Amino acid sequence: MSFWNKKLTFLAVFAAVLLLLAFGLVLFYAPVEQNMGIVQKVFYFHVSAAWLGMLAFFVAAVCAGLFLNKADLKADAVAASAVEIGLLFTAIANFTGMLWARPVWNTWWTWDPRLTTMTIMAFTYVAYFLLRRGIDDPTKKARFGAIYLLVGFASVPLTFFSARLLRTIHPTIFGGGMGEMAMTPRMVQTMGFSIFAFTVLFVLLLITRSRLRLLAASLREQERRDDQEEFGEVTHA
Amino acid sequence: MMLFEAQGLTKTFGSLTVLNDVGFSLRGGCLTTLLGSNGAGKTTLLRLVSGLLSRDKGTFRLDGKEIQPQSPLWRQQLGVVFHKTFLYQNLTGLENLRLFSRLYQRAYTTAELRQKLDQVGLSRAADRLTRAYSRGMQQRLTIARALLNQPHALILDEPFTGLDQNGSALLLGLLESLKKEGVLILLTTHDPCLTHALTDAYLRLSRASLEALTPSQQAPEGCR
Amino acid sequence: MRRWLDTLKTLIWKDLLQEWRGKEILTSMLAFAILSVFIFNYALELDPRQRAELAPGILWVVIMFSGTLGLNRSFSAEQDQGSFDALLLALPSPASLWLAKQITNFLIMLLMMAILLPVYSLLYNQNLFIPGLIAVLIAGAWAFGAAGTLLAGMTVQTRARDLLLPLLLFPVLMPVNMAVVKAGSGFITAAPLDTFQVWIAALVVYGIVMTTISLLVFEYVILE
Repeated sequence: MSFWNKKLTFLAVFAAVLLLLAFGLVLFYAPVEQNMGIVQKVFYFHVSAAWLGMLAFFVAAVCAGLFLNKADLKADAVAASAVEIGLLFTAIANFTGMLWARPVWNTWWTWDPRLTTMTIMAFTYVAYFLLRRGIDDPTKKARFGAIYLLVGFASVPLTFFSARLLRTIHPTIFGGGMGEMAMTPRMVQTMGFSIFAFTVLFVLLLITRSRLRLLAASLREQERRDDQEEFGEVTHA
Repeated sequence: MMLFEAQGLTKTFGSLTVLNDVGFSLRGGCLTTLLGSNGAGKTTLLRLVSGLLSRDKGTFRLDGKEIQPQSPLWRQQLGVVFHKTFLYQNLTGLENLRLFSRLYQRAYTTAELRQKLDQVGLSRAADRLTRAYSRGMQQRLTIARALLNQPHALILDEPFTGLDQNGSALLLGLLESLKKEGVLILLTTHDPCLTHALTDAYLRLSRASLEALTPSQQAPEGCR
Repeated sequence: MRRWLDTLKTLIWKDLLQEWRGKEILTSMLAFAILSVFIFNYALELDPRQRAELAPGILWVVIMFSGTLGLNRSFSAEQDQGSFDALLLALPSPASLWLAKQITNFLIMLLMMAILLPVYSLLYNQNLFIPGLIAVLIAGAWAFGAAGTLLAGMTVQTRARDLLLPLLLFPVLMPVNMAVVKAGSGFITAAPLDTFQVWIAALVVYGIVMTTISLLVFEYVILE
């Protein structure tokens, strides 16, 4: 398997074009919101990044199930790559959220249920990598990672509903709702396009990152095979 | 006599092939010694046979019928002695045996358990915590534990490690009487000379393939 | 079915007996918990009414942290002795090992809470013997173990061991934290049940979901 091919080039160009268009739409096509001003435009990328984080988690959980079912290390490579990408975009979502919250509500953080859940998801992602790092054997690494992804995936909806429940009981703690904004058709279109662009980006990143992982793994295996040739031993580095 | 066969057995770790299309047959009442250099995959083979590791490809047959090594049917007939002792340090020798006999659902009386400890020469240490046992004593206890469910097949991975001369003699005696009772025995050892007299068949594992040798073909160097 | 019950009884008895002999887990948990309660006094110099409202939160945080200490040790006996091989061969299914460990951890946590609650009540002159609160803490302890025992089974096989478990467990445990604190406060402040009964439901749901997942998935933790 080679790292890059024509289809990926096409996908990369497509993603780049979409992102540029999305950026253009956000800047010029979408209206400036009357209360929050131009800062509100961060919102489009904030929501897209958050969407990506959740999509990534879902993809990872599906791959985890696939791996436990049939120990195919390809599924593990996709899962790990998805979590990596998800972590990155969750961080972007949190950061853009803060950029938005500060000027609008004069606070860096709100205990908004979505924000809280996404942050906990990020902790889960990081824990996933720490778990993998503590295991040498690739199959065990994949298996334990998959188990943790399933446990994490099961807890996320519960976390979200609990956080939302917390909010309905104490509405005064939070400033205005983060998503409670009347959206004009133009805003809806821009949002939809932005999400679409990000999704294409996600697919591109997922494919390339997974390939990179698989190539690195086969390089390690080759080294082990060479060791076995030379020393007649099975080395599990 | 029990007949255990393997065919087309393949196991890879990642893309590293440890066993490639390997086949062998083991008989009740026979002791088979598995030879091979360090890291050749002997332990892997033993773990596959005991159902502690899952294979990629291949079939196992017990008395002609296909069997999964993970199945209770096979496990219940199995006794296993590996490097690690699997003993609970905060329990006495007797309590360790009682624990495993309960798990195997054998209702041994305390007297019977003490007798089993006596068989491996541990009767004086029966009520001492396993934490206080020497390596050799722990090895003996492990052997006693492996025999608790009166296995029809015994799998041993370097069982003589840690045993002194008395302990080795004891184990050899046990193996001999188990052979007479028709137990199927598969073992690996660092010192093939020790078991040469009892060995009925040799298997050599090298570069992911298995070769069957007769004792006369493979009398280990320097043994008599 | 009978086999399962016998196996559970045997395994739980083995773990409790070991703990009784070693007394490592419970004493560390208790020492840590009581120390933490002391420390909180200086961190939160509050008037009695505020303290009363915060009690469930403080208590649960302390219970969770010391519970993690106990969880870390729950598989250490098996891991030190060289993994779960011998048990695996003797058990009806890997899930039975999970359930036995879960029940043992649960009982130890109950014992710790039974000592911690009076101590806390004494130190802060606050009556915590409210049936609702106790029920919530018990349910919380089960839910805690339901996720924790599974994860501890994994972390004990990694390099980082003790360090890793809190990092894996705490994000996943957030719903339990919220539910225990909210339901506990509800009982302490004698609020009308319908204002917080949803938290009790959430706690129960979490416990059921995690127990089910653990029973289904635990075999992948100890089988290869």
